[in-house]
Amino acid sequence: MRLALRNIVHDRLRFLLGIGGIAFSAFLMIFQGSLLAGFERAASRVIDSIDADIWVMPRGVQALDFAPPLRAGYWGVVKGVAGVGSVHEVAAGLAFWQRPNGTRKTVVVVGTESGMAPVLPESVMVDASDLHTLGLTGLPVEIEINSHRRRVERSVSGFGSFLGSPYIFGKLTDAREALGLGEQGAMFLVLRVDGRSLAATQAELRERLPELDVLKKNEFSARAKWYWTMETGAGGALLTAAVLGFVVGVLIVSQIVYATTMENIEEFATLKALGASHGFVIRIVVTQAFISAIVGCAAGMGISIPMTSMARQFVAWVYTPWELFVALTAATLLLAILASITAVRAALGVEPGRVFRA
Amino acid sequence: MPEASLAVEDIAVSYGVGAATVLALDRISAEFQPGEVTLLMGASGSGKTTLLSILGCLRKPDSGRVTILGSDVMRAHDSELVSLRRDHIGFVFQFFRLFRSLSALENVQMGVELSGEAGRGWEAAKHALDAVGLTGKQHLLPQQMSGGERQRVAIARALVKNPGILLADEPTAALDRTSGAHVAELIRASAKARGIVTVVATHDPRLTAIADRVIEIRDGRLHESQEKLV
Repeated sequence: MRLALRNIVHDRLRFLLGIGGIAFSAFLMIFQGSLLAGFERAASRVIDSIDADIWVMPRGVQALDFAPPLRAGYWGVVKGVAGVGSVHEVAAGLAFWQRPNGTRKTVVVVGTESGMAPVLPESVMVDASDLHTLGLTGLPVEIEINSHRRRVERSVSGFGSFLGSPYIFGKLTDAREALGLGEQGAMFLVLRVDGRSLAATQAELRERLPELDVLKKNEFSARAKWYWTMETGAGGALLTAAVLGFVVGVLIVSQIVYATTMENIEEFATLKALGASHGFVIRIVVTQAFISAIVGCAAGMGISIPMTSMARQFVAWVYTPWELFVALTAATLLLAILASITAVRAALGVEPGRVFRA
Repeated sequence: MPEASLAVEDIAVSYGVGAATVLALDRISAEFQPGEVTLLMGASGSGKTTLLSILGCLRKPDSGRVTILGSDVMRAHDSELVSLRRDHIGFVFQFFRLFRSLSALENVQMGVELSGEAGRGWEAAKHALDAVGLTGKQHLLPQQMSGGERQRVAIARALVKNPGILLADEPTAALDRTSGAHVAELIRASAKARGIVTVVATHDPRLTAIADRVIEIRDGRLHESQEKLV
C-alpha cells in the first residue's frame, strides 16, 4: 500500500488541512461524548452512591430530585419482608438556598442516614464545584435553606450540579425539617438485602406494595439517567452534537479521499490496465481513508484530553470514560469505510481503456 | 506454422448508433508471432488504438475471435482478462503513465507486485532498471527524470514481469530523436532476446527500422506492407 501512502504525502497541504478537520470532528465527538457521559453519570450519581440494594418509592418517580412523600407506615411493611436487612429513609426535594449576600438559589436537599459521609446536626455538605454558585467563598459558613439556618461544614467532590440546582447533603431529620415533611416523612425507603436473592426479595416487595415502585439500585439509576438524558431532551442535544461531529468527519474524509482519488484517476486507470484487481484498487482507496481518519482521530484525541480537563473547571461533571476512546476508534474505522464509498466507486468505475488516449 | 501467441480473426468494432455509426475496425484478421516486432501505422482515428486495446484485453470487439496465449478472449470473464493483462501483457504508453509519487524503482516494483510477487519485487525491479540503462537513477521520481528516462522506466515496468506480449502506443512520440532511438532499440532488443510478441502503434516512420512487419490501418482495414524492411 505504498502507493496509497505516497499519494497522501505527495499532497501534504490537502492532507494536513484534512487532518485538521478530522481532528476537530474527533474532538467534537469526544467532547460531546464526555458531556453526555458526565451528564448521565451525574444524573444518577447520588443514587449510585447511596449504600442500598433496593429503592422503594411512590409510583412513577423518575429521579431523586422530584418525588412526592411516601405515606407513613411502609417502613414496617418493608422491614417485615424476608431477606430485607437494614431499611433507611431518604428525603429529597427542591428548596431555596439563601446565599450569605441574601440572594436565593434553588437547590436539591438530600437527607439520609446511610451511605453518605456523616455530618453534624444542622450541618450540610456541598460539592466543591458549587461553592461559587452557592455564594460561598470560604468554609465553614452559615446560610439558610427554606428559612432554616444551617452550617456548611465542608465540601465534597463528584456531586456537582448538572442542571443548575446544586445538591445539598445533610441529615435526614434536617432535610425533613427543611422540606416540611414532618417527623416521619420521606420520599424513599432504601434497603439492603441479606441472605436472600435480590430478585426474590424485590418480587415479594412488589407483591406486598403494588401501589409503589420497587426498583433495584441499577434499575432506579437507569431510570434517572433515561429521564435526564432522554425525556428532558438534554441528552438528545448532546448526542446530536456528537453525531454531527461524526457526520462532519465523514464528509471531510470523503472529500479528501474523493479529491485525492479524482486527482489520481489516471493512475487508477493505469493500475487497472496493468492488471490491478478490484481488491487492489479498493485497498488503495480505503488505506488512504484509514490513514487520514486515524491520524486525524489521534490528533483529535490528543487535543481533547487537555481541552476536557480545562472544561472541567467550568463544568465539573464532564467525564471521559476510556470506553469513549474505544468508541471513537470504532467510529473512526466506520467513518473511513463510509468516506471511501464514493471514491471507491469512482476508482473502480474508471475505464482502463483510456490509458491509450493522449 | 505454430499457433500464434496473439491473433485476431474477423473482428469488427463500431462506435455510435444509427446513421452516426462509425466502423472503426472492419472484419480484420492478423497473427503476431513471438520475437516479432509489428508496427501498426495509420492516420489518427484509423483504428490503431482500438486494435491495440483489443490486443491488450482492454476491450472486446463487437464480433470476431481474439486468441491470446491460447485463451479465447471473447469467452473470457472480466477477471480472466485482468489476469491476462497482469501476468502476460506489458504496456508502454505515449505519456509513460508512471505513478508520480513513486520512485523509478517503486514504479517498476509495481509491475511485479500486481502479480502478487512482492517478495522478488525489489531485486527484479532493480535488475530491470539496470537492463534499461538506469542504474543509479532508481530513487528518482518521474518528474526528476527526462522523457527518455521515464519511457525507459515504463519499459522496465512492462518487462519486469516477463510478459509474453508487449504493446506500445506511440512510445517515441513524446521523446526527442536520440531518446526515441534508444527506446526503439530497447523495444526491439527485448523482443528478440526474450521472444516477446511486440506490437507498436505509431506515427513515427523512423520506427520501421526496428520492425519485422508493418501493418497499415486505413478505414478500419489492414494493409500489410510487402516491402522488406530495413
